[in-house]
Amino acid sequence: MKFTFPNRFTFLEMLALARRGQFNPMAFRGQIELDFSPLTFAGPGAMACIKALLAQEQRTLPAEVCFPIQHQCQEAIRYLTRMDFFSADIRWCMSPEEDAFIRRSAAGRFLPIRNLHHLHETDAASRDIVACLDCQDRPSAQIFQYAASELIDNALQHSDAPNGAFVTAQKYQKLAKVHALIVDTGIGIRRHLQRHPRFRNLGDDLAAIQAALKPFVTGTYLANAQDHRPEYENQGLGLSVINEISRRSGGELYVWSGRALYRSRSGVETMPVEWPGTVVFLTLPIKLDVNVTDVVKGFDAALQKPKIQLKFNR
Amino acid sequence: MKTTIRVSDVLHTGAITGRHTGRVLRESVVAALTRNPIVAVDFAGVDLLTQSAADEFIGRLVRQDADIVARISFSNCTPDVAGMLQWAAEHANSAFQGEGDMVAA
Repeated sequence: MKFTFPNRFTFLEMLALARRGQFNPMAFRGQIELDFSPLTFAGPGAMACIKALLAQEQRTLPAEVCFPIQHQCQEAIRYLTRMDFFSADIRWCMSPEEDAFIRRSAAGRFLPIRNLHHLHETDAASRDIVACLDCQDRPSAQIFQYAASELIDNALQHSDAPNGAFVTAQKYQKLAKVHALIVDTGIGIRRHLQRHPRFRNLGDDLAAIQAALKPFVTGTYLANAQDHRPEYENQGLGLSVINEISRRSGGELYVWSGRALYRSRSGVETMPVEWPGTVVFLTLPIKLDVNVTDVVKGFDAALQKPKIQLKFNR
Repeated sequence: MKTTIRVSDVLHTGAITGRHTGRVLRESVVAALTRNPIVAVDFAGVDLLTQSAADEFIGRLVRQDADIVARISFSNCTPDVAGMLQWAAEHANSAFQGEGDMVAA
């Protein structure tokens, strides 16, 4: 399989390619050749997605990932090296340059792609995201840390991905925005929710994403062996809180799982190609004015039983 | 006898994020409750508590044994931290009781 990178490869470009059927995550199988030659700009989020796909394939069928060395893409490859794209856990059959595998300073503008496996890594990773974003405003930094930790926890706890989750973040000073992406190649949202008896009959990926965005929806479930009563569940608020933070702050949330894509500004749509697991992409303004406790308290309304309004005529 | 657990001594951070961190705190409190009838949890220096961490700490305690919460007191909480703790405790069983919207198949 050969994948030729476009001139610009960001998460949104990757989505656009996928919508047109020009990027198929499921095609990353067997011997993979990457052609970086057209590439002049790459976003860490999109590259984290490619890395997750390569890592998944390495695990199931160890194969080498090749790419031709071309003079015109050396600059892009140096940038990818700083992103930690060329890590040693993937068998590259060709090195772009002698020191390609040496991690370089990211100069504080982005978090190099990081592979996490265990829940105890969440706290440090979310702190590192805030540190590399160099956020001067303490309340905003807290919200970034909040969002990052919830999304990383979600991926690590629910995806069942043997390769864990890949995380990255970038600050765009001129746009006054922060991007964060968490990707896994695990079971996806639908299969996770279907573990819970309430959601066993969940129809498809679209219904699964819509469900996951609602408060108090969780797939975590451990039935008591004796009376089959559930004795362990999460509260099921993670994604719905992040969605509400992005809505209140003017940010945007994307969730791509299986064949469904959620975009906070336009809703859910069916994708022509499938993501094997879940990708969450969050964009927020650098300066945030959202109180997360208020957001969480706002979900009380979801618990209120619907009131029956009787209509009385005189 | 009453004992006090300083969160900053247990977790060494002012930001309690992630389920793992919430679990570490819960296990510290549960261990203290086996030795003492009352445990005070001091949140001095903590200015961020995520919903997942709060659920893993206090929500899980309520789900396991709601009566045990009467033996725990909380001090030096910022309004946001107190709000998150209170909410997580009150709604510990919200998903458990199936109060969320049911999803169409």
